[in-house]
Amino acid sequence: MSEEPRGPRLENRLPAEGINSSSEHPLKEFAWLIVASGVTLLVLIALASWGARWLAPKLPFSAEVALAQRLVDQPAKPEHATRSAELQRVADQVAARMALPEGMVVVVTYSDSPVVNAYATVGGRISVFKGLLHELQSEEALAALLAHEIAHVKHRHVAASLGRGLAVALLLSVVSADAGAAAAEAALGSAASFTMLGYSREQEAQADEEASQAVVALHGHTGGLIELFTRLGQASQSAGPKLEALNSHPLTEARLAAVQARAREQRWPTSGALTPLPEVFKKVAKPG
Amino acid sequence: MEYYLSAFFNFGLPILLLAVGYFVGRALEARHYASIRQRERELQRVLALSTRYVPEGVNALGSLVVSGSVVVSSDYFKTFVAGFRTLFGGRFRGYETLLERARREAVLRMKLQARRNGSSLVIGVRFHTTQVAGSQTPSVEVMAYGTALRTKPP
Repeated sequence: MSEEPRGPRLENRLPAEGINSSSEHPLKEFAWLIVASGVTLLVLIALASWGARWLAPKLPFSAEVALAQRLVDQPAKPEHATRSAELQRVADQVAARMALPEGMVVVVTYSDSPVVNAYATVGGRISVFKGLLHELQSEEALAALLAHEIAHVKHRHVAASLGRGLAVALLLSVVSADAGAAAAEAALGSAASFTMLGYSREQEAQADEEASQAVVALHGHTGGLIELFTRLGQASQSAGPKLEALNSHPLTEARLAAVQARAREQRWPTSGALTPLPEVFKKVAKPG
Repeated sequence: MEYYLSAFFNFGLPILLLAVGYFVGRALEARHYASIRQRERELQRVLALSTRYVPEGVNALGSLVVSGSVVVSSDYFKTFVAGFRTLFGGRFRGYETLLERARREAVLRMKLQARRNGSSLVIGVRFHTTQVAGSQTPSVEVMAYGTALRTKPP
């Protein structure tokens, strides 16, 4: 019915299969890409985190102070003025024996919160909570607590921790804007709020060691530090499960044991005269 | 409740969409390939050549421009995988099969138009492609066009 053209025979063969497309299972490619991306992301996070932890403490302390003035500092509450001043007095005594670098000052404030906590944040700002003060009996224990927090400031653990958080947030924001923003908010939020910044065990151990030396220089014994750990241990007994593997803070018992061992090694007295905590920190029966 | 809702929107929904995209996309692709192969056999006698000139020995009595165009869209799964491909580069097999199907379908539609106009020879066949949708789920138009020759009186 159709005429055959004269000349060369013209024809269309069926298209070749499997040249312009592949029969490889799509899930294979998917799995490869997911695994490769995941590994890449983890490596980048590890690098950013390590790099920031190394770099952040090299920034001048004045940069931390500037950040603290924008993020942390709040108008002083007149009703806490006496308590804050008492804390500052003890902190200054301790800091004088800790050989802080030039230009580094600590500012201690009292916080009216029942949480058993105290933290150091950027710019040498330290907060001590009412809940923790109620656990302590002596001024030596308070000095030990402040010495520990000042040590975090002195060794720039705060800057390292915040820097790491922000570096990871920056990296995540490249991948997903939402995840990055959430991480940055968490990092800055933890600097401003009472959430403890995550310190590594090595950093905690370093702060404990520094605190031991400071309280020995100040009081001649480690009794305050031991009281602090004993009290904190009792307070956390009821608080939660004791799983050291899940906790970046070494448990207070382990830290207490480490401090005692160090005291034996250095022949530091582990007990001595204790001064009662200033009256202003005593528990007041709440009206109603 | 709020936690589960946000977990669903953050993780559950994308995974659900991925699964739907994958299974539906794969089933449709298999069906489309089967249909393409069958119609290619049916339309094998309509020739499509890329030559610019009337082949020797063909007695052309008339001509008509014919075209076949297809708009194809990626699915959620393919687009998701493509996002990772932009990180690592390399051959992206998902889009290769998608575009191969589009080209073959476009040629089939062009041949169908030629046959309906009583022609069994299309010369000067070219392809043209245009992106028609945003980058969220990429869609492209693939068009095949050529000159259908009438080799016998209409």
